[in-house]
Amino acid sequence: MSQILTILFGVGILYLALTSRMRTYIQVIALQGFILFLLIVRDFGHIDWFTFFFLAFETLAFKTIIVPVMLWRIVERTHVAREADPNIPQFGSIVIGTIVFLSGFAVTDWVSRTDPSVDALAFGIAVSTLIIAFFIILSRKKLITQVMGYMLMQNAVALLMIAMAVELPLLVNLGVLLDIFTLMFLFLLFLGKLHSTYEETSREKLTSLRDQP
Amino acid sequence: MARTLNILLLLFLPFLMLGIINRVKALAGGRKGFPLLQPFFDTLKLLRKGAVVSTVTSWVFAVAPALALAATFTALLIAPGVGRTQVIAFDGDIVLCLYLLGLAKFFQLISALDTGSAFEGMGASREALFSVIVEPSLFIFAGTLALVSGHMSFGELFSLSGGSAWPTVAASAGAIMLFLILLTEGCRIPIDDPNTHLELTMIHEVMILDNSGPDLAFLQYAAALKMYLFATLIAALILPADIPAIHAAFALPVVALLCAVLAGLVESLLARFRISHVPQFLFLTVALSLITLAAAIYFRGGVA
Repeated sequence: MSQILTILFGVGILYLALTSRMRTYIQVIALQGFILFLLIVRDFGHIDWFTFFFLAFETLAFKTIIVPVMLWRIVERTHVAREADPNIPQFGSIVIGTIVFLSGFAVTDWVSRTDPSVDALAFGIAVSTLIIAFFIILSRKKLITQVMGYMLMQNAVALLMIAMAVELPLLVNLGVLLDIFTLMFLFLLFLGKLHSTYEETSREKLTSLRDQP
Repeated sequence: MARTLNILLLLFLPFLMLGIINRVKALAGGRKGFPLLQPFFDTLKLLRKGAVVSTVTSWVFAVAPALALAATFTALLIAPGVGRTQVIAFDGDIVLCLYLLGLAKFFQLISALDTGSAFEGMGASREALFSVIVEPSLFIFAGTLALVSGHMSFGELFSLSGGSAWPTVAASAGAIMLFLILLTEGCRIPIDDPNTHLELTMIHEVMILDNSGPDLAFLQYAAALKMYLFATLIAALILPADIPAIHAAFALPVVALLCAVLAGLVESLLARFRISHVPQFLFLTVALSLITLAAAIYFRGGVA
């Protein structure tokens, strides 16, 4: 079951490489969050109950509900629901995504030879997701997509944690949680201000920003 | 017994799949929907009607519908049915099956071009483009399964074994890929809209605008059969090989009908893609087949 969930996680990121709808980005982030929640519930039952409860609650509440809702609010406020506006053609994105996935399996092969305890499938998909998320950040012009890229990277790190069968210490998890929350709030304010001033939230417009004379 | 059941299912299940898709769409839209077997009754009605044939068409247009139906029906006799039994089976039958589908598509395309209609030519061009993208993914996937299993017959191809994650990756990625192909070849949303009335947005429907009566019935049945074929492949992938025969007899129809429900849900929840976005979407099938190949190499330590 966990293998099927992991593959669904991977297909989600592959689908993101070819889609251009903001709504789909948010749906995939929420879906990945829910998959991570199911994987944590399934694989981390042996750890102490407080950490287990915190991990499961944080994944379900934060990654599956709060962040997607916040992202949706930003999208609605800035009216960028239509297109992710990529730098390179969409077809190029899916080709690169596929190549990254195939390379991810190669990395997996190497890692599973050196450490057989690692869940090879989850590790390969986590690494691929990390790289594709980074690629999405670089290749999309809209600023909101950058935040979504960070969220995808965060999901990839969580899957990596599950693949290596280690639970992050509670304090590190809380720190990451706080970081992401701060990032989301800052972006909400930043994009809202940028949109009200320039009516545009494209990364390219930032090059023409000047100090007030 | 299983072979007889396979043939019986071929006569009703494809129509039932269409009926279920329409019922799911109707329920999602707050309507009651027409009877589940309405597509079957529509086909019977068309078979009783006469055909009107344009004077500009040649013999290609006349034979194409019957040939498309015959080729698709034969392909389904080769495909794994109840309990993965095939009505026709031999070494290399998978290649014949895929080429029969290609033959049916080829005759439908040249039949559309034969009418001399610009709209039908446009539909044929789009359908050809989508097939060009989808077919490599099918061949890569079938080739991977053939190399891994060491068999070239459909019935033995789906014995997924060996390697920790390989069977799950092959079954999951393969099922998703085959479902996307089912939507494409079945001319369903988000690739095509079978209910559209605007020629400019049609793909498969515009190709068969000139067909009527029994010819139209043949083509509609062939399209439904093709959907059923991919549903049988999904069933062969995800169902265990060692289930009892009586369970297998029910499992295949259940999987086919679940595929229809899923297709109906997709149609209810998704809008149709812009034509320019469809090739990108279909490339996902190629990506999934390549991932299956990579999984075969890395998780099994090779494909042989």
